[in-house]
Amino acid sequence: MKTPPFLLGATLLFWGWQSDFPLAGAAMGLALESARFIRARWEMADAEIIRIWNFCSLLGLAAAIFAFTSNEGPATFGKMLEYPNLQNSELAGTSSTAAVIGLLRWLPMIFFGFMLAQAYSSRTEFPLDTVSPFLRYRRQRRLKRGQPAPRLIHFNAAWPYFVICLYAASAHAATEQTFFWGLCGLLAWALWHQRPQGIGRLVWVGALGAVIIASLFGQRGLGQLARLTDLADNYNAQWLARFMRHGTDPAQTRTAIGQIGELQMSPQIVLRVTPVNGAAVPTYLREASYRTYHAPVWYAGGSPDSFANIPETPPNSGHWTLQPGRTNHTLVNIACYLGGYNPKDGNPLGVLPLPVDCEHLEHLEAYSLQNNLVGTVLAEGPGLVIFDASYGAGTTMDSPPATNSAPGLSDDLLVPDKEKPALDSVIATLPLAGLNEAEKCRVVSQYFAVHYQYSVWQAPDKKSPALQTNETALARFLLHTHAGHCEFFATATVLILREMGIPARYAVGYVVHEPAGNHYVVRSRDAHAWCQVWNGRAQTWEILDTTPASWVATEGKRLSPWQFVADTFSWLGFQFAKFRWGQSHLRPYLLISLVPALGYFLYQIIFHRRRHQPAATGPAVPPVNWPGLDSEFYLLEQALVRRGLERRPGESLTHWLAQAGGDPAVAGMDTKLRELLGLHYRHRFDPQGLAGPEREELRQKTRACLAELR
Amino acid sequence: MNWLWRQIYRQYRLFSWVQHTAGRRLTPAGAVVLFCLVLTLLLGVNRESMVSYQAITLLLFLALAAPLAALFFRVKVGVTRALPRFGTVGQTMHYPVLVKNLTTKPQAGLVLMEDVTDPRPAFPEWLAQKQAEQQSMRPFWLSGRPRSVPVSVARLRAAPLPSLPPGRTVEAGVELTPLRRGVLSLDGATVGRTDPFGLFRGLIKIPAPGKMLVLPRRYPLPPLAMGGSLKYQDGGVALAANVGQSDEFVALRDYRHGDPLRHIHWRSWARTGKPIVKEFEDEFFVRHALVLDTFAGQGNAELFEEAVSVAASFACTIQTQESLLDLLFVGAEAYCFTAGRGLAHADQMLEILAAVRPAPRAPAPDADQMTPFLKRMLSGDAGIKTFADLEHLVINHAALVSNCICIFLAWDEPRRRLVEKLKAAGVPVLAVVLVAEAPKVPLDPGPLRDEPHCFHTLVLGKIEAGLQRL
Repeated sequence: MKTPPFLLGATLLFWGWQSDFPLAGAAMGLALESARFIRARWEMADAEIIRIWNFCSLLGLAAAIFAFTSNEGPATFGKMLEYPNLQNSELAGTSSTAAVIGLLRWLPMIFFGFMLAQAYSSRTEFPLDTVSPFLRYRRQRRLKRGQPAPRLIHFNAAWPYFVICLYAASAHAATEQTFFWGLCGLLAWALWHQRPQGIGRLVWVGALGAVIIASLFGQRGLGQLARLTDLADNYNAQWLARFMRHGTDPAQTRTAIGQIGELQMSPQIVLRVTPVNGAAVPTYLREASYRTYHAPVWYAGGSPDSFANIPETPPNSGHWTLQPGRTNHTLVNIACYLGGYNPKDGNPLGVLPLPVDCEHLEHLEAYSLQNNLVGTVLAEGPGLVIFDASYGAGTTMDSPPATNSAPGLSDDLLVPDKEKPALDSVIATLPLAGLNEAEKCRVVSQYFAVHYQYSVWQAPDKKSPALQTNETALARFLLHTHAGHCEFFATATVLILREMGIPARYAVGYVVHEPAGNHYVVRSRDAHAWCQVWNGRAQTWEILDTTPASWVATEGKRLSPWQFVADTFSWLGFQFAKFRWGQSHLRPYLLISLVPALGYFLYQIIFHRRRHQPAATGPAVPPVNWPGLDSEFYLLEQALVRRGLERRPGESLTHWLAQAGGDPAVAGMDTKLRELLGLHYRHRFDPQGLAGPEREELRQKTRACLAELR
Repeated sequence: MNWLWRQIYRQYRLFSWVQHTAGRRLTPAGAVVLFCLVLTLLLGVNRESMVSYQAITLLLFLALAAPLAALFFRVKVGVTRALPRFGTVGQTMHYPVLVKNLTTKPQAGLVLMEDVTDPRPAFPEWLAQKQAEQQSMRPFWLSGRPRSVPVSVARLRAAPLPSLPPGRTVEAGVELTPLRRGVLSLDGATVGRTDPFGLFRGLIKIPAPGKMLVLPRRYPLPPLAMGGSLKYQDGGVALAANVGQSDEFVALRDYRHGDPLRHIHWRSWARTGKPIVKEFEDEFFVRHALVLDTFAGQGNAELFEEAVSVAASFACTIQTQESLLDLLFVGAEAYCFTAGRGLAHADQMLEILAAVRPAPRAPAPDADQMTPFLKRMLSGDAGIKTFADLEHLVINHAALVSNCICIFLAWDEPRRRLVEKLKAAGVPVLAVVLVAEAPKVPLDPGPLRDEPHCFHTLVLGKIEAGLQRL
């Protein structure tokens, strides 16, 4: 199907205008449309078309390389391969996008030669084989095998070129609607010429007008949709994080103290802890510590920017030293998700659950690592990190309690005034006289173990004096209910110790207790809070967990019998996350597994012929001995061909001789040749054949002619 | 595994339906618009660098408006088809279809498309075909597409209709190329017209059932000089085919024990008082046997089709004015058909070959799809299921035939034994073996070693050239 007159010229003009190549567009359009007025045409064989197509393809390849290199493609891709992180990936993506857009803009120029060839060719359509090496190969293979060749498909390059020009015209940034209106005009031009019979012009114009108006309204809707998509993109990570990951705010944590009802905790697996070299796993993995309590929230104190960078030594080694100078060799492998996102660059960000006495981290592929004064370690990196943590008895990352000169002194001994009466009444019941700090801690721990119970249920007690007085939830726990969850115990312990003058901090994290094969799983409901108390003699922080040990069994009873199904899916999700965030060894394994296959294929290519062997020579078939094949006229034909009288395939001998009659090579031999041809035809095709004398005549006269030609 | 195959089969049906529907509904311009819409949606993501997103809504509404407009297409026409009785695989044929405008408005821009009955195989057939393909595959080996019989039964081109005035009838020339032999059923015809933009067709189906028999492809054969001698045919030509009665009366003679009652000449009996019977002339003539091997096995569907084509070529080429030709093969049952000397013609032989199915998986053609001739010929035979039974059938027939043309799908021991037995019975044999690929070493002619010119190997794809060497 031909393109409507002047459509391609107009499209090229439009492309030139939109792509800032107005002169090129005008010249190309003029050159193409001039073919309508120039009658001369180029007789092109398939081989010539293939050559032009190959030239255009090579030009396209060169343009692609130029576009890629001029947009810093090699540098960004090299950087991405060397340091694969999100930022470098984004940079590589940006440069490749710029290269593609640049190439797209040049496409009309790249394929202009092919289009021009068609415009000035005597053929209105080209065979598809000329642009497809695959089709050419298939055709040649079939012909070689003696099979019938596939049907030739012809195509008009003008329509693909029209589409290419329109896409090339769109390869620029703009806010105005000029591209839209130009596109409407050109599409209307193209569609007008193929409207079916029986459709009135007014109906057609009305229908297209309706489509254009709907498109304009649709553009507005698209804008709204784009904004919604942006919102969804931003929210998506947070929303997914609710299901996939937990998030701990290093600055503060809101406790459930004071909430009525049952504390609902998810059985979802959030951590996987694997002992290394058979070592025991740490029971407590701390995420964050806090200093200041304003019911029901614990605050870390300090400013949000109080995090200090931890250097990776050496760079890109995955080795991060948290406490220089210590040499612990007990390792534990921890896999955890980074729950949040850095608002600046969008990278995953989260608090690492670590043993409190962690010394250094290995194989941690994080972009950056920071810690604060209370031992919280914040990592920015892939959404899932798997690393080895080295730990052992000794000092912790936490800063010691502030001295009098330090501004943070009050934080580790601060007790809210509202809580003091209840704390004092509890302390009054404790036998603390003459005990040192360590013994006091033991007494407090025993007090909670004897008088208190673990409970995730907080019933509203209508008869409680708390309803009539200003008694806090913590005071109610300490004085009346004597039952609560870990946050009650940890908060109460921290505040009691502080009230007794012992520095203490509130810590949150997980308790590792559930083995699963060769590793341990930590569920969301294993989240725990405990007290960290300062041991002045050892100059270190120690864990003081006063929550009754029954809490683990209590939480275990709440597991569903179908939990293994959810755990299976969790494991699958974990494996996928490992693959997604590059934490698995699957990629190298995949590459390695390809090596034998590649070797096998290479072997097949080099040493084996293809499955379809060429046909073996069958039993010898005697050649068909058609009558007349021994005619001497064939010698005459060869002699004339050697003298330049080429005979085309399929051309009859009569026609050939008639055409050759005017040639000086056979001047004066016309009659003889015609006479010989008559004899030859009779010898060749007459069922009676030639009689003996006639056969001899053919032989002799042909020899005479041959001699004359020499 | 069966569940998985069923899912794949469903996907196959869904994909083929989409392909078929898109082919009928979408015009080339419509396909381009849809392709551009998808491409623009992909490119439109990058709104900062490209303005192609502005084309999304335009293309989208064009792609939506076109089918919407096609929904309002209404037309009432009558279709009368002059379908030929026979067609041939691979040969394009044209036939007229009369379309009458039954509305009071002129209709223009219509196209006519024939509706072929759904040719897709049922799940068991499809599964058997796929499993056969898998068995023939070699793991990690690059090879071409598995050779199989095409699913589509015919290639049809939409025929544009001239303008239709109210109440008038116009003729459309339909071009049809049968791709598979057998009964080609047409459910009806579909009349369509594109939407105002020429992107999408609205279609109206008109029931107009029709059937034609697609004969196997035939190849030209060189003149055949078959050996053998004239054979005595008991009962003459008519009895040679086990039907009818010979008229070649010679004389009257006394009744002998065993003479059929229908040969008694009652008037002579009444006249002479003793039973007198009519005596018929002994007939001697050439009788060819054409043995078609139908034991194709799994994955040799294309090979079998070619074998049928070769058989059809022989059936058409052998001169049967003065001789008989027996076609022997085993389908769901064993069959022997005789043609020549006025019994049946080559076209009837071709009808039979059009309905031949491979032996192991050969359900008999549906009775309602058979021509009366086929019904008559295919009734009343004993069941034979294995190659040994074909051998039995041929050997029993050997005494009657002058020579035997065997078209084999393999050259194994049972087939060699059959040829050996035929030779032992004094029947000249021409063996033609079809193979999928040219063997690295030429096949050993076996019992035909002393007559190599009577043994031919035909390679798939080069059948025609191979037949020229006969």
